[in-house]
Amino acid sequence: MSVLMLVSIVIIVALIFDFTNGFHDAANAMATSVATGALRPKTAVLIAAVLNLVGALLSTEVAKTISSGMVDDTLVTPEMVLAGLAGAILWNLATWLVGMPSSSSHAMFGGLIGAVLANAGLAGINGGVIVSKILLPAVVAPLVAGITAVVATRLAYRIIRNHAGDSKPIFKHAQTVSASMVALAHGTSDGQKTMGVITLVLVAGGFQASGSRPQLWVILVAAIALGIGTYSGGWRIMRTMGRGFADIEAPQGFTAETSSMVAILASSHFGFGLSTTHVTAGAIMGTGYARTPDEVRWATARRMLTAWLLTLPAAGIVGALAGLLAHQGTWGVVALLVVLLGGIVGLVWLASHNAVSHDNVNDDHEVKIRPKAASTTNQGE
Amino acid sequence: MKVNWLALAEVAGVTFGATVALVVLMAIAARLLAGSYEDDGSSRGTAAVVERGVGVAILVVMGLMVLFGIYLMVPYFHD
Repeated sequence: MSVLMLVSIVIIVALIFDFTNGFHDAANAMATSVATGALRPKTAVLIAAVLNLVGALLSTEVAKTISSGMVDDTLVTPEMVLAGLAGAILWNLATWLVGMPSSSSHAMFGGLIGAVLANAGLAGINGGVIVSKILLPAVVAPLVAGITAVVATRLAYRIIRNHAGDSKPIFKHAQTVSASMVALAHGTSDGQKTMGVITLVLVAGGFQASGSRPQLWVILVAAIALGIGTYSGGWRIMRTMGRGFADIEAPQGFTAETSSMVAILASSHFGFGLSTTHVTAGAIMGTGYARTPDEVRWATARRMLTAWLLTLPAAGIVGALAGLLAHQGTWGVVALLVVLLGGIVGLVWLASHNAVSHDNVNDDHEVKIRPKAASTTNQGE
Repeated sequence: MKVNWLALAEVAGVTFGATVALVVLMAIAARLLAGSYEDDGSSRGTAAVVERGVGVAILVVMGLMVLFGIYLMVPYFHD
């Protein structure tokens, strides 16, 4: 298989990952606005899609971090990138199936690290960058966003205590702005990750100089794929984020979105490979706990924390196995693509048994793979 | 391994400070705007006009803060 063909395949798979990143993370910006009724579901994802696209065009700080920092791009081959993306896509779809808001970014980082470790060994990994720019912010950012949301929510409810009913419609309008800003911030952060990966494979294939910034066409296609993915909704995760942790009111939605937006923007500004999912979920849990600590659904939070912990190693293991397969040559790459396609079709088929769509996203607070006996099967997604 | 603790602390500090400032301002604005009307929707007079004016002014300040945030994240504006 020629290098050009292999690089082309990897770019297409990277854009598929970008699409899954979009629908997996649409909830980050819009879940609380949809849950509080501040925005209608289809309107919410349309706004999110447009602003994710715009955001992805605005900055390339994080893209540069990924392509020339996390792994040694002189040792990385296109097969490794393909394997890493396969691990990330399958993990993204598996967590989407069960409605779990795990990090698309960590899935991608894990897949890539696993593939590089399996084929190039420890020499291919820059441990310092991984710890300082990915793992450390992954722990710190949701904690900061959560604690901030607790303090801000309590202050807000103290201020509006005698006018809570009249204030909520105003907060609903404000949520339109805050949710839009989160979508924009998400685009600046996550749009760049696929740009970084495509740049990495272009460097690995000898089509671009090491350490250089993403090319314009890369920025454009990554932004468009993220926007289309976001518009498709990701309603299973939207349900968990909007209704799974706690019943959220408009002031809480505004607080969670503001906390997420500021954390994402600040992190993006400093080039940290932040997980927007972790930040948003931390903020939603914080604001839910601040108003009604007894009504937080801790079981959902525990499941989500488990998914967070598993994301990096699980995607890493799949990435490593995929990397070993891809390095067998042309038949290995073809076999990997067949496995990836089979996995995608299988997971989407499983999800179709109990579809969650814009019509029924707020009907329940949990996502089941099989429909409940008494409920009817809804069409969508 | 080099960890940029200062940048991490800055992210944490900015997140906390800016979020609390924005949410508190929004809550004050919402309270002023919501409290400037009687239950039947009629205005409460001069005091209510002042409250509404301050509420709207706070929303304008918040809008400027949002624009500043966008300015910070777009490299073309400040590089």
